[in-house]
Amino acid sequence: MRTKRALVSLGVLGFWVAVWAAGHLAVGSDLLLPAPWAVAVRLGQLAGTGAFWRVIACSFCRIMLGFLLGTLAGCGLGVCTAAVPALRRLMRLPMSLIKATPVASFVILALVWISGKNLSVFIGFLMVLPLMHANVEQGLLSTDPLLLEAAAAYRLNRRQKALAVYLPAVMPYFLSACRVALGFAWKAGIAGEVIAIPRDAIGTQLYNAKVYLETTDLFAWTLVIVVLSMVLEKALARLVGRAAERFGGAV
Amino acid sequence: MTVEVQGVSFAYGGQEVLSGVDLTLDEDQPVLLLGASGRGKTTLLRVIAGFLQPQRGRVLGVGPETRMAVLFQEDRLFDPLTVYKNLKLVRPDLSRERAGEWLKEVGLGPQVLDEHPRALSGGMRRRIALIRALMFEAQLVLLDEPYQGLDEDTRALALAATRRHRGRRPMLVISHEAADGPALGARTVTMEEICHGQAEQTGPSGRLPDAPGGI
Repeated sequence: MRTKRALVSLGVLGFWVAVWAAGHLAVGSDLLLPAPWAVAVRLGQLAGTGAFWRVIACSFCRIMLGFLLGTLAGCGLGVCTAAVPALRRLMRLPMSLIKATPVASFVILALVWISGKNLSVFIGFLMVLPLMHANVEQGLLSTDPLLLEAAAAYRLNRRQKALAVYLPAVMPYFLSACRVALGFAWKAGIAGEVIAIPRDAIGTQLYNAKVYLETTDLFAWTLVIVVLSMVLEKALARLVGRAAERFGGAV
Repeated sequence: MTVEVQGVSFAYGGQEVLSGVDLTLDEDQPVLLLGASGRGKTTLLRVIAGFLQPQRGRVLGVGPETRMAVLFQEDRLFDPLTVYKNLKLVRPDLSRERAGEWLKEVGLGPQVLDEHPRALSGGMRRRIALIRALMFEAQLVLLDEPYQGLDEDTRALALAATRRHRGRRPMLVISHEAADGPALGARTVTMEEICHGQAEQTGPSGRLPDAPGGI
């Protein structure tokens, strides 16, 4: 069954690579649409250098740091706004503003405040914060009042209540927010790097490829972003699956 | 310890469910409360537990510090935790052996300890909720239809377990079966006997729209 599924996936991938190759042959220009094999060769060349891996590691670490900070702050804020209705009303406006503001506006504004090196951390943080906040708050507010009543009757302490009642209520919301936020942070972080052009960043490589009209490099780095995004998503889906098992399969 | 319900009235919205209810619960004998669906048995239990505030009358002998074991109409077990962890929440010193003995008393095997409540049948959940209530070191025990959905044999086991672990503490058991009274060694009262006002009936379903967990 698994082999069959892998073969089907491989077939689908082969089909689209063939479409890409046909497109390249039709256009007849490496500048406009490089051949898949040329991109593969270039990717192989890049992968053979230490700089390639350093660039990936730096971008990855910065964006993941932003994701983690956004997750922590969003969860903390979500807990506070769920507990205090006045704070909930107060935070509604800034959270809506952050959600509605385009990434480019934040990037340019952030460049005035902080160095380009740390920009993708900040952008990742901003993308994740409102999403985590809204979901954690919603999860907490949807806690079953009947279970809370039972917890009160049986004198459960705060820790027990958190474990038995609040955590299971908030987990489905939190985990689905994680899935969406990770993709957001990743794409917005790279976009931020393209504008801020820090050293050792995937976004900077994309920018350079554009400036020097190295379309093959542009495709190679885009492929890296797509593959990394898929790997991250798969890893997170596995974590979510485990958590869903633990917390009642409601994810 | 004695719990005195004195002239308690309660209405959901404008609809009165309890009217002038008088009831005494003492340590000597449990009370079995009978009544048709929709007569306000669960509402009375919730008023005694302090989850609802009566509009008239009062409940003496129960305060914020009173340790109460409540078996709700819904089981209200904590699904993400295993059965053993559910029980340990209310009895932190409970060993697996002792927990297994409790389960045996209501006809369940020790393998259930590692199950999550959501994986169990309604009858099994009911019995686990019952032993959770009985093992809690409470001063007052309130059981809302604890034998609902149990077959004859398991019902007999659950009744025996309730009687065995009653302890010297006030206990209120809500039921539809008059035969539960003698099995529990309980004093049987009906809603009609203890409701001295004219409470409104709540229609064929016996449920009010805004009544959490029945009425």
